[in-house]
Amino acid sequence: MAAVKPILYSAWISSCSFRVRIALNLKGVDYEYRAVTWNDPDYEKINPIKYVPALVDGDFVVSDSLAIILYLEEKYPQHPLLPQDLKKKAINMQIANIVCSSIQPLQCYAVIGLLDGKLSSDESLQIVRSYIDKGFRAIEKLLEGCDSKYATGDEIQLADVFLAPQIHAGVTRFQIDMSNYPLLQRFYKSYMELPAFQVTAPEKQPDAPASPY
Amino acid sequence: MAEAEATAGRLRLYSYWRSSSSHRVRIALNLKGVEYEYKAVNLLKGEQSDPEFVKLNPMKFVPALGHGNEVIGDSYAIALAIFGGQVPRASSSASRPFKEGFESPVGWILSSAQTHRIASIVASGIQPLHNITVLVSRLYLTSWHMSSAICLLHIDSVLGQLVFCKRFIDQKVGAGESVTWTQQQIERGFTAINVLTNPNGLAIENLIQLKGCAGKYATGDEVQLADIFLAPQIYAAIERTKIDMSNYPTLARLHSEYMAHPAFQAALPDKQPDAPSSS
Repeated sequence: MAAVKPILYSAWISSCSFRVRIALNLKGVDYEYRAVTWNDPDYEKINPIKYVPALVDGDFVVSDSLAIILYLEEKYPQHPLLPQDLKKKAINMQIANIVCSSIQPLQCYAVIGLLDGKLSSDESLQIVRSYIDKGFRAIEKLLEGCDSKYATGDEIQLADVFLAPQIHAGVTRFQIDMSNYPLLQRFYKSYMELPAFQVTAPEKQPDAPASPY
Repeated sequence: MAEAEATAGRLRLYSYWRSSSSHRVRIALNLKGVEYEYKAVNLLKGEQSDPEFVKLNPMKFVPALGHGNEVIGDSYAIALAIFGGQVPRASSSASRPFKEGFESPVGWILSSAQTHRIASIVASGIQPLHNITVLVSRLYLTSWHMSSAICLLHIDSVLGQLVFCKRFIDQKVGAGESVTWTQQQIERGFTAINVLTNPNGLAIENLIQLKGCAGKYATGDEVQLADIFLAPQIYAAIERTKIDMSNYPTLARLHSEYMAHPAFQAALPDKQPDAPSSS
């Protein structure tokens, strides 16, 4: 029986969705893209917390980008994203979590604050930039002296999958000056040379508007 | 010399008694049955900014787990390291009460995507928004009233800062609006999780294939990663934000299971060496 393609619920601009798109592409997994718009009432049935992304694999639904990617890592062992080396594995998890717990959600609530009218655009931008700066500076320290092509080696790993979308958002939406973060700047340049990162970029998604930024 | 070597080989947990992310790692270490040295980092005194600690974790967060010269930050990364085989089981003969007769089925801890999903919702979608650094930094950075609302919930009245916050909020917002945007965020996360684990919830229909959805713990009859992340979050919500748990019967039930489990009991904030003694 032919396997059904997994369905990815995603929004073009969502950096969390971008992470999963990268992981699927790296592993060569063909998927169906379903765009979710802000406050889409039907989407709540797929994912009660209403965040994107969510992955529907047959009759199994998993949401939250880290959980989805760890699931993909088990199901599709090609192009592994977590190294065998335990220390490198821990560093990958730490960097991924700095991005997905200590930068993006805080950035997100400042963006929502702006959309809800609780924050001015200056206040919102200032908050976003302060969290990105804090997280990026910490990651630069953690990776001090790194001379590999990507964050933890010469292959793309979990940390890179989480870093690329965060840097992309910083550069395209929040006026982050990447020259303050030389390692991350170098990695980002390398990421964006790869097809898996190019085709999955927000502005290339089916639901991206004609003038995205 | 032997004693120094023994000390060097021991795990060091950098923790704050009240930090829910530190609380997760304390549970994990207890489940694994390892001894560790508790290194208190007083967040209210700003000890996370001490240069020595910043060297250990540039994000200036607790928890961090040290072993010899290696340090791992971030509770999710630490939990995976503990259950992924990096943390050796203690060979010390000293035993703590909770270890006697306790078998921890650690092989099951990581096994399901569902458990990661729940852990991740707590770690990314709820806890960061009511983290003390969010509110303290906001007081200084902007005049944003939401952060003050979070502050009102978060800082002990004994420090007198409650008065400051309340004045700040009333000034900026008007007494009526001092909602607890934090509480809304927590409730939003809890509602989703409750729907996931409640046999009567809508979303559960999609998850019915998963084994143990209606089990003793969040994702089965054994403690898993989701429980390690949920327990401190539920505990903090009950203790500090006075959330109405009758709206979340499954989470309330899980809470009573956790409170009856020795590894979780020993990890509670007020059992920690740096918890203030009750007045």
